[in-house]
Amino acid sequence: MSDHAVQTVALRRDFGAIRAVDGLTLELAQGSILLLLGPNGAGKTTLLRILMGLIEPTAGTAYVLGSPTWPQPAQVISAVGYVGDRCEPPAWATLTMLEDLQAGVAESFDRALFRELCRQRELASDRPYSSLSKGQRRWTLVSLVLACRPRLILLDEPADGLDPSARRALYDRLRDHVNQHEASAIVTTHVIADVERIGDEVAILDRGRLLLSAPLEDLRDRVRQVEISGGESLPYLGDRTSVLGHVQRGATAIFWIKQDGLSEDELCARLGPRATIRNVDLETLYLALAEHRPAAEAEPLREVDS
Amino acid sequence: MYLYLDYRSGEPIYRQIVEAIKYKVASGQLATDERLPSIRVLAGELKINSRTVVKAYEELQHAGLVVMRQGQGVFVAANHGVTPESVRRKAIGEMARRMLAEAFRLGADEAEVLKIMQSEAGKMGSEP
Repeated sequence: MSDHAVQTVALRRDFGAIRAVDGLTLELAQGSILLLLGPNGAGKTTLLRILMGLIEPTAGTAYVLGSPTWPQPAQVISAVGYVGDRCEPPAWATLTMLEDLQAGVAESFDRALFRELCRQRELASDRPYSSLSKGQRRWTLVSLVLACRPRLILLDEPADGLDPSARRALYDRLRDHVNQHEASAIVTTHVIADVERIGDEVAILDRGRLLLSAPLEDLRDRVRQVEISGGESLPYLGDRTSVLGHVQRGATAIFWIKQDGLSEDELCARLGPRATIRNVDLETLYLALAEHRPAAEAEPLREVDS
Repeated sequence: MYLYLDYRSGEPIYRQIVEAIKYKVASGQLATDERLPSIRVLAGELKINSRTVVKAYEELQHAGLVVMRQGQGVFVAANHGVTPESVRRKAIGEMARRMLAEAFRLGADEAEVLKIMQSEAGKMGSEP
């Protein structure tokens, strides 16, 4: 387990009759950033809470930094940083007070780094937390966590309320931290375009289940949008091609495919002259999976009528 | 080293780095024996995983464009064979391929495409 920052095996968590996380098997290598995507209620926050050792899995196991999460050993708790909706410091505290509080609970807390991060967004140390805008609060919380130099960082919608330059600065800072300390991170967000730049791995969840998990570079290499004008089906592209999504727009059929082993020329030749092939960005891929997933998802493609 | 990368183009980042460095070599912005940024530095500048840079450098080495010298770094190779001409030809070839694919889809044949190209070139004031 030790070369993985996070590993889950058939992980499940029920809340009464609701299955929030359903058979999740996932790995995150050290030094990588995982983008955890999915609609509201997909199970992202439950997964993060399991990884933090806050809730017990109903079945299956989760390992963080080599140790099971339940019960989570103290040295792992102190090596994991989390920012999400559920952590709000006292509103009356000034940034200096927050700095003192954090230094009191986290041995590894680097005051100079925290101050530097606050200065970067021009946040004065005597500002009470309550006087900060939503975006400034987020920045403060992320800074408090990064300054503890955690080995695993869990960020639940960290950029919520931040303006574009603050979002850019936050994600750049996260990438730098991960690169410099061989740390790892999981980021959940609905603003996919923001994180596509810094992500290494992507996992897409829906109703607690994993729809797709892959290195981002692999997806860039293998996922294509194929538009077939005047057609409704896709020619056979081999056993190693799967259809991630399909939608009919008038006379044009649009398919999102993940293929393996075919060169760009072979793909063109097999699809024929009526097909247009495009690269796909992560947001398009996410929407294809979320909204246009075929009923028998992730099955190898079989030849339909031609 | 400034490299323009389009993170949302769907093109693998390592391949974009390879192409960008090839272009810099071909256009003389990177000279023979010039040292490239270290893996760590380039990953830091581009805000990407260092493994992506390693993959790009390995591909460039495989293509004979750079050499990795133990303990010294990565350098532009001598006799790398990449010339402005070869890069220019490849770029124009790709543009032509994309255009031809679209034109064939619209039902044109080679002769018609060539005729239209000549006519358009004529309008732009270049040699027919």
